[in-house]
Amino acid sequence: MELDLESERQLVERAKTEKEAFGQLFDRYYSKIFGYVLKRTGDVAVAEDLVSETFFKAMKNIKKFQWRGVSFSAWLYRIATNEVNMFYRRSKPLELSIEAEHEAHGFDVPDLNTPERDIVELQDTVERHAQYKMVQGHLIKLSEKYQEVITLRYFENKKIHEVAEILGKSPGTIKSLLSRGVHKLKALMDSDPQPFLQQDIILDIDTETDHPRVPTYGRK
Amino acid sequence: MDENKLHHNLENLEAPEVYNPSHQHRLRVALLAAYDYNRSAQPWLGLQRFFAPLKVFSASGVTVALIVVITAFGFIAKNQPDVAHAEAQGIIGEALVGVAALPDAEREALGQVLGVNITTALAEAYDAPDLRYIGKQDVEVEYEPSATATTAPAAVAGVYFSQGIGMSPLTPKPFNHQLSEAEAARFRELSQGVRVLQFTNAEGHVVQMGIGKDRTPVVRVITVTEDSDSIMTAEPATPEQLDALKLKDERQEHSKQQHEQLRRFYAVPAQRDQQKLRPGTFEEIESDDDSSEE
Repeated sequence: MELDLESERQLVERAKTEKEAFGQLFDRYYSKIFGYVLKRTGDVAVAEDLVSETFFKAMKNIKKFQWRGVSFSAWLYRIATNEVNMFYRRSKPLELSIEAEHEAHGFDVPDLNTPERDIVELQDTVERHAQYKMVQGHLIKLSEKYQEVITLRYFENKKIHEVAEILGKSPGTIKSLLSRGVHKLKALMDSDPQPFLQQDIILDIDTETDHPRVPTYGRK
Repeated sequence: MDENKLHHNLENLEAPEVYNPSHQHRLRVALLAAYDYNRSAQPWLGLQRFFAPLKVFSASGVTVALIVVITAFGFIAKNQPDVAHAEAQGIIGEALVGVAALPDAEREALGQVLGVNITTALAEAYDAPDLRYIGKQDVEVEYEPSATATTAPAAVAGVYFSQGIGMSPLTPKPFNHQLSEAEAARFRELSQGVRVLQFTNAEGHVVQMGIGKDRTPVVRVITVTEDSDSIMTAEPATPEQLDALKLKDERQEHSKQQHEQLRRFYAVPAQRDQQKLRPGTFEEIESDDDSSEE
């Protein structure tokens, strides 16, 4: 159930001094933030670590949080975005990491801190969405600023003004970044339409039909 | 295909819905535990922030020297029923606050050398039903002058908890890394009084975690019980991890009083200090330190 903004504002204020309130905020937004980070990284174990960092930083800094009339989740998304960007800066790009693990080991390397079946199930969930995975395969080749806006706008279904709030940019800048990002994404897709093995991908974004097909993801 | 169509297709792209209840649970428990300690430890956090610039990567340095992964058979800790589960959780809670108070770069470096996300690892420990505090332990540092080394005088052969938790001295594999005797001595000093906790992780492996005096994890030992023919061995951090770090004494940078408080090794990832980070350069670093002291 969605909280109205005033109720959320009160909850955030309580969370500055009451751990139970912070727990409620955590429960409310964990899945959204985890989903966002997973979509940015494509790796469950990495996403777990980055989400842990995100919420710990939120806990550390919640006293400094100032209500600005938008959802608390925007702040969490911003922290998570910074975490993902820092992750990419300090490590090699994750591109093809899933495939590389399969090629190298024949299985997904489990995180010691998470039950293996959870990792496998979650990774399978990502794998099943072949179309999404294909787009993500191209997306991670773009610079961070384009990854951010495209992921938030299209994968998280955020409105332009919401993306602007999360990233601390003006709506005009977001529109511009989106336009340029999609342009670059299209160029990548045109030059390499199949970054992964994807014989079961149905949606053809080059289709000339008037009504783009609804993706059916892995089912022909 | 035009870009408008791509926009449209992206808007209709179905992204996977993901749920991760086990991680959510572990993280929630750890967060709320840390929340309490965060409030009660504010004065201490202020002190941490004051000293933070002086000890960047110090914890990492300790960690890289201490991290061991043990494959063992019959490695059973003694029962110490007088130590309560709550006490162990309290120590983890302190560690969570300690880790949260670290500068981001230091926390990341700590995670890199431990090979795990520290927050996640502490959350797992906190949530383990059999978590218990074993006691304070000194971590032994075995120093063996190398008879064959031609490029450096010595190497640290291995580290292990000293005694009292049922661990026989291991037959450690030598560090694939060279330390001077002086550095090994300082390392020993830092390895005293580590609070050791034990729990069983999700894979059924016994994990022992050592929390240092500065409330940060300094050692994490995973015990894997294998077939009866297994041999007890210890492996320190990977050569890549060790090669990516250097040890450095801070003494020339601070006053004697500060140095006594903060005296420790610290490590700097390779990318942060490329010039001084070369294999076999500890002697050079040591000599640099000596000259600067004068």
